[in-house]
Amino acid sequence: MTRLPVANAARTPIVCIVDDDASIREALSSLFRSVGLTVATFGSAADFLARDNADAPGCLVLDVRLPGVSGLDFQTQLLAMENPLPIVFMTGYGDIPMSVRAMKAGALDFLAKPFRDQDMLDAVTNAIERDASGRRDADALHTLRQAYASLTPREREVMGHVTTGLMNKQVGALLGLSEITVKIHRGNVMRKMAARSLAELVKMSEALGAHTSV
Amino acid sequence: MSLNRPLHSRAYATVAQPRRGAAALLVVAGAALALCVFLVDSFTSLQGAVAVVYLVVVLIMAATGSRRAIIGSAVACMLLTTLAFLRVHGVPTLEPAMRCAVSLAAIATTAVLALRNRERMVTIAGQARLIELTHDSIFVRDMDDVIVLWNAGAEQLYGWTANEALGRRASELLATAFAGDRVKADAALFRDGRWEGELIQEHREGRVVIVSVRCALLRDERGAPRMILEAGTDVTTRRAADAALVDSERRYRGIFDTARFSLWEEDYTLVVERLAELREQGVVELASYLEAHPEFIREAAGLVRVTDINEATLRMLGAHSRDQLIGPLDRFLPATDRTFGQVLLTVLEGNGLAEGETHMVNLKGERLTVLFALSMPLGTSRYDRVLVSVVDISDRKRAERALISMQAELAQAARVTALGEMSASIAHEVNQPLGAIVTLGEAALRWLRRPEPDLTEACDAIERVVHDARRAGEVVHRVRSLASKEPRQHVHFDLGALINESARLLEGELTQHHIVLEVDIARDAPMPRGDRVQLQQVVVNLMGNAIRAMSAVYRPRVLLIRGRASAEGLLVEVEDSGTGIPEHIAPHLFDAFVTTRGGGMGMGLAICRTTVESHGGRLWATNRSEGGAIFHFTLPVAVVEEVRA
Repeated sequence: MTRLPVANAARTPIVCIVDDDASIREALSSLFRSVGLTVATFGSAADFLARDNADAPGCLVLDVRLPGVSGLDFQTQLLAMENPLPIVFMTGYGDIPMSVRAMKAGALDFLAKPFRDQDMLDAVTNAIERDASGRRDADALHTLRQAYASLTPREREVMGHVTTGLMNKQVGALLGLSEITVKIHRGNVMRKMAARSLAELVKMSEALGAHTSV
Repeated sequence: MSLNRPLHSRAYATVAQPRRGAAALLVVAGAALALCVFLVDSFTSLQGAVAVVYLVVVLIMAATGSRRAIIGSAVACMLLTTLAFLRVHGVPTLEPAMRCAVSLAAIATTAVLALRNRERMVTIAGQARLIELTHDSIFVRDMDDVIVLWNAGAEQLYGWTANEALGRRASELLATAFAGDRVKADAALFRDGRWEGELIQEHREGRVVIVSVRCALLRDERGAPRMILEAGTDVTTRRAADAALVDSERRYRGIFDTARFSLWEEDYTLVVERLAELREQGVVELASYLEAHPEFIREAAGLVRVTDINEATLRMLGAHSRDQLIGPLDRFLPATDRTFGQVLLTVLEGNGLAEGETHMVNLKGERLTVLFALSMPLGTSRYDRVLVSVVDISDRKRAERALISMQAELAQAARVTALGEMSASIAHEVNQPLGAIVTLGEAALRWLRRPEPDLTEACDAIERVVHDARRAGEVVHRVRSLASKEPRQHVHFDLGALINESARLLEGELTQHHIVLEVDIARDAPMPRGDRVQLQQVVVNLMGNAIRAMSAVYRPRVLLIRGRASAEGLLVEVEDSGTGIPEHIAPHLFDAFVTTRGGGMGMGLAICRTTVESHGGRLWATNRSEGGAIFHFTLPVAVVEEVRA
């Protein structure tokens, strides 16, 4: 498999803790560090948004009750941004409607304080994994788009028709090209897109979605 | 009417009281005639026959109406006759003497007749004078309806003077109209000789006068009708007043019958008589008598008779007919009623109006709350027709009570909510450090269990555990001292005023349960000092408990609040005649969540005790031997100011 290098693949995931209570922050930090995770702590939502390496992979551990803005509203803000970090919610007095709302909005877990350390660690590991896979998908799409961008207009036309299931001859007739010329373009497309089979190319075309239709 | 006023009767005028001038003239004329007769008699030979003319002299003199004149003239004439006879005849011979004697007899007879006639005339004149003197209108008309007598009363009644009226036809002059049947009236007059009735006649000015008339038919000796005497009294204003009264009565009836609220007519006569009896027995102060003899109020209510009621009253009391309600009043007053005593006092003090709120019982035995106003339309001296208006406000009261109880429930709910919120907030405050402690403990374990234990991190975590555990402890401490750290405003206040305010707050319940509130604050009771609002809550709470404790007992319900000096400062006692404190409750009486009531939360007494104790006082309860409970609390006179922790 020949892939373009993935931008963030090598970077260490960071667990970001946002809680207004310093004790909780420190406790969590200690817990996460004890299992070898990298931790960043923030006293407020604003501090978190102003952090340096904003696109670092990892996850967010968030207290529902934050000064200034509620954890749930903060979640809504984050979801509107690109590459949102998966969120693990903590609450001192979680109630069902609040958890339902958070989970619906994409929270990965909702832990009531005091929680068991293993539960928190599982939730965080899970979140980091989710983030990593999300990032992988995003990277793959990025590679695909770059490959597609390297095609000539004629090659894109040929790819479009071929992936709908037309024979080379039919494509040639449609585009006013000889079957041989279509074959050459098709070979170029397979090579540039790094597709090992027509089936793979069809998948790539589907992944690119709207971008294929010119 | 002046006595000198001349009579307006043409028929009797000259006889009854001749004028002086006319009388003198008559005397002169009589005397002249007598002289002439004497001269003729003496010096002519007519002899005796002319003496008959003396009769004319006597009659002329009689016309003066003077008794003396008649007698004088008769004697004079007789002397002159005798003188002339003696002068002419000298020695009397039989025949002239006989003539002379006849003449003398004729003169004497005439004089006697004139005197008798005069007597009669004087009598009639006296009667005419009486007619004149009466205030009533009297006039006489003959059978042709021509007016022949017209007195001053008639002049005043009809406006016509005697001169104007005499000789006129009465029915024309007065435009007489009969209220009833004229034929019948005339028939009665001719049959019985008299008729009485009302006539509508006209005054000279054209206005109508209503005259109550008595007519008498005067007959002559032969029984033929001669004159009609008509005596009348002006009843125009009386009739107008009567009409106004009838109209007013009709209006009153209309209002009474159709009013949308209940109206009663009651007869208080028997009560007033009974009260008079009491007064004779030496009862001076009715108010204190009623206080000492509450049963008398009941008796008095039984003596009041309901004499009339309107439709609205039937509806209000659920009756089908008036007869069900006419009778003694006590049937509609609840046995515990005390308002009626107040009504009695008000009525007897001569106030024509009493009003207030009270209870009534309808025929179904249901209790109504009503507003009433009692007035005495016939004045404060007549007690047989007392008007009472009643408005049923039971529904309004029910709604009010429902509202109050709803408010109470709401307040309770709010307290519960507040409690819930407070505990949530406390839980959060405690939960934060607890959560941190748990996590730090687990983290420390993980640091230590690493293949290469990281003691620095582990110690760090454990240090934080200690710190957070302390923090949690602080939260708990803070919550516990929350109540005592509340800033308070300690002021001196008047216990009596505070109790009055509390009683006003509980007025509805006091009335509803017919509880008599007695307040007895000793003169030497020290003035309390503290948080007035909190202490009022204590008083209201204790009073409310007392009221509820009495709501189920059937002995007199008395809520007594005493204030007096004690060794501990001010001692306040709230005493009731209720059910007392059950033995099994007593040891836990002041614990939270202990209640004998279904609806209560059992916080009241616990809070009361906390409040009193925070003021440096004590709160405790005892049972009365005769039933009921007493709650005592003390307040030090100089409450030590809170020392901030």
